[in-house]
Amino acid sequence: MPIILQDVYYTYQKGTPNEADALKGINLEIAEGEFLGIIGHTGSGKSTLVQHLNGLVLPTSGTVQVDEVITTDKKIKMKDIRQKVGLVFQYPEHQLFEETVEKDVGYGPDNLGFSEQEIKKIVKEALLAVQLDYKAIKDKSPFNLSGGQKRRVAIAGIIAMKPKYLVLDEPTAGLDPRGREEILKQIQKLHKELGITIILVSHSMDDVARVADRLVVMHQGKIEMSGKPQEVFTKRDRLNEIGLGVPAVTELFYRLSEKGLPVSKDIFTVEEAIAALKRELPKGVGTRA
Amino acid sequence: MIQVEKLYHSYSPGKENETLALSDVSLQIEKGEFVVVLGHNGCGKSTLAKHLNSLLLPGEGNVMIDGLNTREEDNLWEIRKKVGMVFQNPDNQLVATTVEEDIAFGMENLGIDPDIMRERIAEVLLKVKMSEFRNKAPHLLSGGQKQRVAIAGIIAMRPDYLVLDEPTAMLDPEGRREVIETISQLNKEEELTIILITHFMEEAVLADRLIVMENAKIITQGTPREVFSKVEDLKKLRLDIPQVTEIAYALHKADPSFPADILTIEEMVNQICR
Amino acid sequence: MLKDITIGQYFSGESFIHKMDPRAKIFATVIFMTALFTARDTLTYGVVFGFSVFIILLSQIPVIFYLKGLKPLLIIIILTSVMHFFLTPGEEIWSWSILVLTREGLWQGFFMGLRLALLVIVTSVLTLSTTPIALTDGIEKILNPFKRIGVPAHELAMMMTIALRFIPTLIEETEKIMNAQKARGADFESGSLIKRAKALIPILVPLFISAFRRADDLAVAMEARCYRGGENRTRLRALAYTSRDAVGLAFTVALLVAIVYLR
Repeated sequence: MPIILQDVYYTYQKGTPNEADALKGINLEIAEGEFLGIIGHTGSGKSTLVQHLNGLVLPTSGTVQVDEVITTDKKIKMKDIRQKVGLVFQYPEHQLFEETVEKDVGYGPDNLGFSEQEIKKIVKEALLAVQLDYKAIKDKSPFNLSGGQKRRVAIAGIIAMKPKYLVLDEPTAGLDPRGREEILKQIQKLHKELGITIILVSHSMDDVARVADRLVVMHQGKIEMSGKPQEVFTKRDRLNEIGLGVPAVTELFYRLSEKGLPVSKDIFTVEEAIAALKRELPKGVGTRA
Repeated sequence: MIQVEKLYHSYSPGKENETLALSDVSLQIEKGEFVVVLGHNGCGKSTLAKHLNSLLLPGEGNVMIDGLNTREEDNLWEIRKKVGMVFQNPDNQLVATTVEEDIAFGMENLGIDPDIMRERIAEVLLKVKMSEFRNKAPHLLSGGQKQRVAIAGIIAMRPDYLVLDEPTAMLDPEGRREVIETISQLNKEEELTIILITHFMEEAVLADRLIVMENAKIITQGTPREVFSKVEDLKKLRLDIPQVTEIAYALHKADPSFPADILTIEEMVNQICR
Repeated sequence: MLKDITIGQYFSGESFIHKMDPRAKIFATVIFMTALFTARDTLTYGVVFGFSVFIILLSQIPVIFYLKGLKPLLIIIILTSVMHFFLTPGEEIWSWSILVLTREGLWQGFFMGLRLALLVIVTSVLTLSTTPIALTDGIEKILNPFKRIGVPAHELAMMMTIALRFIPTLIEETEKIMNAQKARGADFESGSLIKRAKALIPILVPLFISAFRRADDLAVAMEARCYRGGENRTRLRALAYTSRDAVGLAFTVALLVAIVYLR
């Protein structure tokens, strides 16, 4: 069953002078097994949106349905939703607190009431899922790890809750290109190998375009557009207007076609670009301008 | 001029967890230059930055700022006045409860007269385009705005060199753009020497000179065009390369007459559609 | 969001009191307190009460803000009054078992309650009409002469400024960490007291670590901006006494003299 958001509105500090609408009528369905990318500026409402998915924030009006439960239903147990929808916050390493990596990753499953043996097994699997060596790292203090390792331990802490849906808010923020690449690869692996539904939130068009099956573009509390990356990038002018832009490669092909070159505009990876240009490039452009 | 001669630096020297952060680093930076230092986390680039204003002292070798050696304690304040620094985390470098007061902080430390302070505050706020935020509290600003306030606080001290240690790492694309615009403007219009440490290649292409560090060493330097055209080498280091440069490089390999050193979309379009 | 809260309780305005120098206001508050504790009968309490009403009106701050400041202390004030009602020896007017209400007690309790209430309210005049930062400056300047006997005036003021700067940041951070741990199934709302106290560890540890990291970063950033303590430092905002401060102080001193004379 999917996650369904129906006409979700959210207002901050309702009834005070600081009242502000963060979400204005969101309708969204996230299917099981999907890899969804959510893009938007700071303040576009994307972070508020994802906090609705695990019930950390409840809609002011409208409903959020996760599988068969509705988050505003008084009878449900919040823990069940939190388990189903794992949420990795921005800079998740800032939430580490235990003496050892093993204990820290085990915090979530412990809250959910798993037995000690189960927890041990789950922790092992979760660390493996983020490609950390369980034996080597389990007794280390999480605070003595490198930045990239800390982040992976924190992500493992969410994976250990065995979520069906995994939401990651800017998982590559503050990392160097090497770290960024590694984390994105691992997320792709989680999606492919463990079959976890991934919802990746980012303000980097380039990062998300590479990995997501479908994109949702948020702007001023509304869904501005959604669809496959190729479809979304056809609205290049609008994307530039709201300051998000399209991947550099797509921009290049738009400009080339504006100059009259017969190239396709739905290209957004370097590999596709090279292949297309080798095919299409008129002879003789090679000499220096 | 900044001169770095055969600089070595180790963290926790003599202990079992001793790590070499800088090894045989030599470097010269002229006044008015825009230098970018590129490299992965842990490559030593931040350590290098901290040597430029005596926050760290050389293990071996020397760092000279306009002829002042950072090793000499008497030079300390003169050097810190000459070399301003902006850090990564925008929250952790603003001291005061309003923008105006924060910009004044450095000047207060230099013992500048309050009337002159007020003039300079207005002036630097204009330069970083933050004039309307003069009386705001820092915690109500966006990341990019906070970084621009931090920059304003430094340039109000009238430094000759501005060192920025990953000032955009924690910002969103909009904030990044604001900060980079401010920096290049300061370089062009005020002829302020900029030493920008980053791992974003979009920022690296703006430099007059690009220095790439890896494992405590400078491994290559030159204009961005020279450096980025070494696509294979940079890929081995898993550094980011502008995507158009990557495309140009592949086309160059297929047809050597196609130039490999293209940095921007503009250039690529011009090359193809002459 | 929590970050929108205001630190301190400054109510911005342009009144005579708002414009007084923070040092003068601090001194005036101390003099007022002396007068308040010197008062002991209907007449003197009446004068002090009148003075307070005048100050409140002069401050142009809505009375509701003063009453709000009183609210958290209401129980203590009532308790103090009640204790005086029953524990002051004198002419009995009502009794029940061991409780004896006396005429003297009634007055005493009333005065005590009034004294505490006025103490809180007039201190609020200071905090409501002065920005926290001006207050900090004022305290620093007042303590300056005591540097010679080892009072770290500048350092204290610096600490207060940094605290004021970082409290909103840390509050915001606490909110973030709480949400992150809730997402990991943490429960802060139910269970026994011990269980709830234990549930705070996953919040407090990251919070402390972050605070230390910030302190570290800030120290380096301050040093890089040539900070080296209070020596030879100039200030953007210099405090200066004006005739307004002289009038305000003279008026408060007059109150004290009047009370001493009348009692």
